Amino acid sequence: MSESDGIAIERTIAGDGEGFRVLVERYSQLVFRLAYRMTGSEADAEDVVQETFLRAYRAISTYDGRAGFTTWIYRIATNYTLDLLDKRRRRAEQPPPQRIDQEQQEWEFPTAAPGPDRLAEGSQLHRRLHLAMAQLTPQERSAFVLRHFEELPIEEISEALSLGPSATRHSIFRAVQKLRRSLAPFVSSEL
Amino acid sequence: MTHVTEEQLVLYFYGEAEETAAIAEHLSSCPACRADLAAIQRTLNAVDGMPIPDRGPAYGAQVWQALSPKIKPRARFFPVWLQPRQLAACAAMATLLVIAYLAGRGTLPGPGKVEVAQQSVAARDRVLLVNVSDHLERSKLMLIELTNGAPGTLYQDQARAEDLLAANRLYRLSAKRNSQPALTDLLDELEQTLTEVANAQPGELRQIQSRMARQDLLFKIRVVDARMRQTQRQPIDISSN
Ligand SMILES: [Zn+2]
Repeated sequence: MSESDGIAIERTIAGDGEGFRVLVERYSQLVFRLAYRMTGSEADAEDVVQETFLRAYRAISTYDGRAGFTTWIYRIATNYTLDLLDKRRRRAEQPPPQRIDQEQQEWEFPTAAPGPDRLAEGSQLHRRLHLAMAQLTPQERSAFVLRHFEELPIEEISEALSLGPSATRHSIFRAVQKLRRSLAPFVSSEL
Repeated sequence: MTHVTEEQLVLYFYGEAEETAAIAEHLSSCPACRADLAAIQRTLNAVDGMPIPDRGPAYGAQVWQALSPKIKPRARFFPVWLQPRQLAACAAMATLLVIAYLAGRGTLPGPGKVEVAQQSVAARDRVLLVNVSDHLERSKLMLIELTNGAPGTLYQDQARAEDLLAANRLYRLSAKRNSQPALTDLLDELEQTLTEVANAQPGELRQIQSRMARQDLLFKIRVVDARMRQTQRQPIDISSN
């Protein structure tokens, strides 16, 4: 069954819950991936997926088809994730001494990475990657994830993050710059 | 040109730099900047290796399962009491009200019974016609899907067409009894199309589609439906108890 997004949306607006099921089933993985990359936590990503679709459902009649459905759903997911991270950051700022391994709790990583027989080297790189991502601000991380992994054009990222285009470009640059610094020893010895 | 800045290189990598041609030209003659770009590329290649926990192929269905109790079907244009899920309950309630009302008058002996029977047909028609908008909407969506659908999915549309056909007959009769000629004509046309869809052989899809287009059926549905919705905004005469 390959019902187009447009028809599924029209059905949803008409009150047919099955229409929305099509959209949820089609885009859940995508939203999960985005949210996981932004939060580094499976539990948070699951939460983002549920909340995103709930919000999308409530707002579906405002979807005007100007942006693709993916962009629209990304926008909802990104906004919710940023709120979530913001709340968490403010909570984390309460206790005064904050060391680098406490930062790890703001952006939770699976410390014991999943996967049965991963090379020690590989999982070390993964840990390192997670740490590097954790050092980005939520805005840098979102802009970077949307550009690098989801390959959205700058305009759409700007819209999703409610940022000007040059601020968006700069966030992406800052993200790459930080990743470069923290991964430098690793990457240059690897290759 | 002096060396390309790190920011320019990063944006160049993503195809978002403003002076792409100038940067490309500089890169072609500057090993240092080329090396810098290569280092950025290596970093970003490594980032690609960030693992994502696999949710498995059933993930979408799981999300839906958790989500569906939290959402209630609704329609943008329906007033609250006309939301699809409420429709059945609402129609049933209206019928009960009508019955209660008629039962109250039904204490009359003999000839009164005839009057009651006649009134109840009229009342039932009104109740039915409240739902016709929903029926038109469903028919419209089915026909749209049929028009866009892959040939292999015809049988799904046929099952829906059969359901709609049964309802359509009732609505058409009610509309006729209620002297609503425009609606009666539309339902009549719709019934022909639904019958054709329900009985179609796989090869006949295109014929049906082109006949639908010729008759402008979808457009007519939209027009009548819009008019119906407007009349429905006015309260319906079931509150006479
Ligand atoms: Zn140079």
